[in-house]
Amino acid sequence: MTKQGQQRVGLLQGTLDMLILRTLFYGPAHGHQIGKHIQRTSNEFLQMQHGSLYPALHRLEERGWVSAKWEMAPDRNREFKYYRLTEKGKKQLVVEESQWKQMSEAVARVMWPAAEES
Amino acid sequence: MKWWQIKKRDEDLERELRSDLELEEEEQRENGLSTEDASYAARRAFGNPTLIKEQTHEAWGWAIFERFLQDVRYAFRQLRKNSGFAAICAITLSLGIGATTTIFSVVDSLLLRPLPYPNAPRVVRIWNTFAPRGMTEIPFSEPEFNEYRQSQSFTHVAGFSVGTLTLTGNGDPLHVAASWGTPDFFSVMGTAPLLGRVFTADEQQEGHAQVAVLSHRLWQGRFASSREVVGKSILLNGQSCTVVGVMPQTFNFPSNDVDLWQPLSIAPASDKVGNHYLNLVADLKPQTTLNQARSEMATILDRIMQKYPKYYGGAAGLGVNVIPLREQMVGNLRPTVLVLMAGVGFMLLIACTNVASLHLARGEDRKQEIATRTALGATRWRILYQVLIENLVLFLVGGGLGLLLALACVKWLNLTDYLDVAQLGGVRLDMRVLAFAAVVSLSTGLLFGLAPALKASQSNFNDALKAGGRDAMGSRRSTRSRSLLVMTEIAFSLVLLTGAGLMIGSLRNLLGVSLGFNPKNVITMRLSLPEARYSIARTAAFYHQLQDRVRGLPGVEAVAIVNQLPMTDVTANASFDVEGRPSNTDINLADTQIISPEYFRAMGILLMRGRFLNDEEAKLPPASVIVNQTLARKVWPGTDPIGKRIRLGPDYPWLSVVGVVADIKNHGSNVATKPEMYFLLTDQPLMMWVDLRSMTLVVRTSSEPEQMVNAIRGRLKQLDPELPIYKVSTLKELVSSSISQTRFPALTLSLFACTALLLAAIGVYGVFAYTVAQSRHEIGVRMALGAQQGQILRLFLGQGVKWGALGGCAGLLAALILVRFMRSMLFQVGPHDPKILLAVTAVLSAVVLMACLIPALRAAKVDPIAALKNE
Repeated sequence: MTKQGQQRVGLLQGTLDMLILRTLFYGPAHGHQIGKHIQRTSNEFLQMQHGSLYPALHRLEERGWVSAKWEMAPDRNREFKYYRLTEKGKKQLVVEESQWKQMSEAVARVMWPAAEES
Repeated sequence: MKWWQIKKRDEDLERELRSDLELEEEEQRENGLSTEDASYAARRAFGNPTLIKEQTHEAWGWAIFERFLQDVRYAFRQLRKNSGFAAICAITLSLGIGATTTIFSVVDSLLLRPLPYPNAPRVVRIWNTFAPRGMTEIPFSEPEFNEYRQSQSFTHVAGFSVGTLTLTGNGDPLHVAASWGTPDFFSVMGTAPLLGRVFTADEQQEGHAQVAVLSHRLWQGRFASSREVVGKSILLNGQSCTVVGVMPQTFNFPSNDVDLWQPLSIAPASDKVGNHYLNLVADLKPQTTLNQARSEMATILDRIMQKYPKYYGGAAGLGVNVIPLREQMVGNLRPTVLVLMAGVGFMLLIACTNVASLHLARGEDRKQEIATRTALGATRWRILYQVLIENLVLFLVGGGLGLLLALACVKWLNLTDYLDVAQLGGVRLDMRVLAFAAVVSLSTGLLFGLAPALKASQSNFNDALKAGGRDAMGSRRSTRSRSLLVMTEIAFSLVLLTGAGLMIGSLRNLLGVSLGFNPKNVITMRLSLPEARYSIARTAAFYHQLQDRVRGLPGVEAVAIVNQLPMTDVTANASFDVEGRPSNTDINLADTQIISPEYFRAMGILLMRGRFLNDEEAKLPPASVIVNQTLARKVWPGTDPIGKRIRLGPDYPWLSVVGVVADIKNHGSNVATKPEMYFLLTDQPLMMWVDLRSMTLVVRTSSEPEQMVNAIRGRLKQLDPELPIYKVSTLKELVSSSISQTRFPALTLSLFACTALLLAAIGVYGVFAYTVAQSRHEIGVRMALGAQQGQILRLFLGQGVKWGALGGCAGLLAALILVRFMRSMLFQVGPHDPKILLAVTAVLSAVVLMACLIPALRAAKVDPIAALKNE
């Protein structure tokens, strides 16, 4: 349940891939878990429908950054499709992370030039 | 990922999404929601599953391909649903593409493609002409040839003659077509032999050992394509002859059926001026034009006439003509081919018009579908893409059928001898035209298929949805373009119908021509006696014996021989002197027929004056001759020709005219009868240059003549077991094949016209039925307001009549202008024959009315309550 008045924004284009990769860095997860994790860790700030994860997940799989496998869940008697980070995916995460950093620093420099000087 | 794994991946995705959704649902329930609320909440949190699936598919990278497949599937479903529309479109396309391609391929091989000889563009044929008698292709005599060969306009001038020989040894005796050529015969064409060599100059000398060059066909058929054949000896008419070479497959000059060539020796001092048997062929020097050659030929003719004043004696009207080889070969086919090509062009136009109007009507039908799809979020590009795919599917089906049709037709054309195309290298399917026809019909489909879709997707879909597919008759704007198309179609059909009508009229006239002989129950066959075993004296005796033996067969009514049958290829002719008149006042030229006494009875030719020849005369030296009416009228107008005397030249005896027989169509049904002389085959025959050994046996029977062939062959075997017979045919067949030049275009044009009529009927019906269906609501309102069935019927029929009248008038006008180009193909039919014009107009009107009547009747039967309730 979301709190009234809290600001919520849609995901920035292209950042979803990075978020998924980062989430999978902690270990394999299925789609639902990934979605919940991103929502929870962003304090419900990042708003998205779970469904929109899947095209992204399949795209990442197509690129070989994650691999997928149907596996039994440890806590319940059911199979889920677990995604895990590949070696290639780990490298990609590093790349995206640094790009993001550069990007946000660049944005910050434009927005708050004074802060930079001090 | 590979595209064939899509299905498996899709199932996998489905399972993944379901499990996620279930998980979400469980969580919502744990939060305390009811089962139903939990399900809704989960779905809200999850999003639109169809959209997600589509987006995921995109991620797999095969989305474009998948969409294409989906569209193709949808297109097939649409076409199945509208199977009538699809079938008509496909048939229209296949006829349009198939017929166009076939006919153009024929035109291409007949008129446009070069002949398969290296010198072909420069090769010409040379003929004597004689304007007063309308004769355009008179062969030359040896002295004439000796003069013409000195011409400066040509690199080579060659003379040749044609005839037949019997090839023996190495299997059954075989009848072969031979051609005898002067030294430059092969140089004129420029074709090199495939094996060995052609004749050398000294082989052309009289007395040299016999040599022969084989045609590719004979080499393959008789000598199993053996390369060792060169240098071998073969037996021709019983004489040994050395094979010196083999020509390639492409060399079939002077005719398709030529089997071998032998040298022809012509003495430079020859003085046989009256014996016109040499055909001339020559190749122009590169810098010389046709007209220069013609004027030089005229100069040479003057020289010849001065040299032999006694023979030519001021013959006014004698000329010489030079025509290109191709024109010689296809010249008489040119109008046929051009008319057929115009016919096919109209066919293609009608086909395209049909496709266009069908698509327009269908586009109106789809307005609502497109509006619905637009309302559901389909982009315009997506809708156009769909229509495009549908068009392509339709086009591929129709075009595929068309291609099959064209292939079948081309195959058939190469097998029949309606068009003599083998000599030109055969008809090949022309890919450029196939592509042209395909592109034209495809673009028509696309233009008229996409335009309505574009309009529908552009317009406010609200209106279309509200109209609910029930246009009032008021929205005439869309109807106008369709009715214009229908009128065009009617006009084009009328043009084609007129063409076909004129050809059928000509054919009927040709079939109705009085031939002058009775072709019923007559069988003919040709035989050639080998020179080695038959002297000229024995030849006459042999034919007497043969006739006696055949006459003994039951069912035989008359037996005769003749050197050249009418309607086939009457080529032997000779000039003659008339007693009491100076021979230089007139050029008298007539076909020369060598016959046996019973010939006129066997052919059923009537005697007009005097008497027939008899068996006793055959044993005596030649003294009498029979002429036809044309000759009698020309030479002795107004006087009785019986008893008058003629001779073939100063060295020949005088012959008395003993009888005049009725004119027969000796050169074909559509050619005026030429003067003709009939000589008896006597024991000491008259004309040495006619091949007396080759004769046609003519047998009149009391029943089916075909059944007699084996019995006749048996009698021949008793006389000479080594003699082959050939060209076995009934007289009826010969007559029928002689009019094939009219029959073929008549048949083809009729086929076009019928197809065009059918297409037009379909087009009119389609547009009309569509208009009626669209106006159901209006009809309902009119009926509710008191209109009677008859009034409704009249309302719609009136519209049909208007279309028919406007289209018909335009068509008639176009036809009147265009059919003038057919004049040369017609026989005793004016191009503006009112009866035929009336008949075709009536046929077209009937068909158009029928096509309108069915939908109009349906309109009159509309139940107003049902029509209005149906909103």
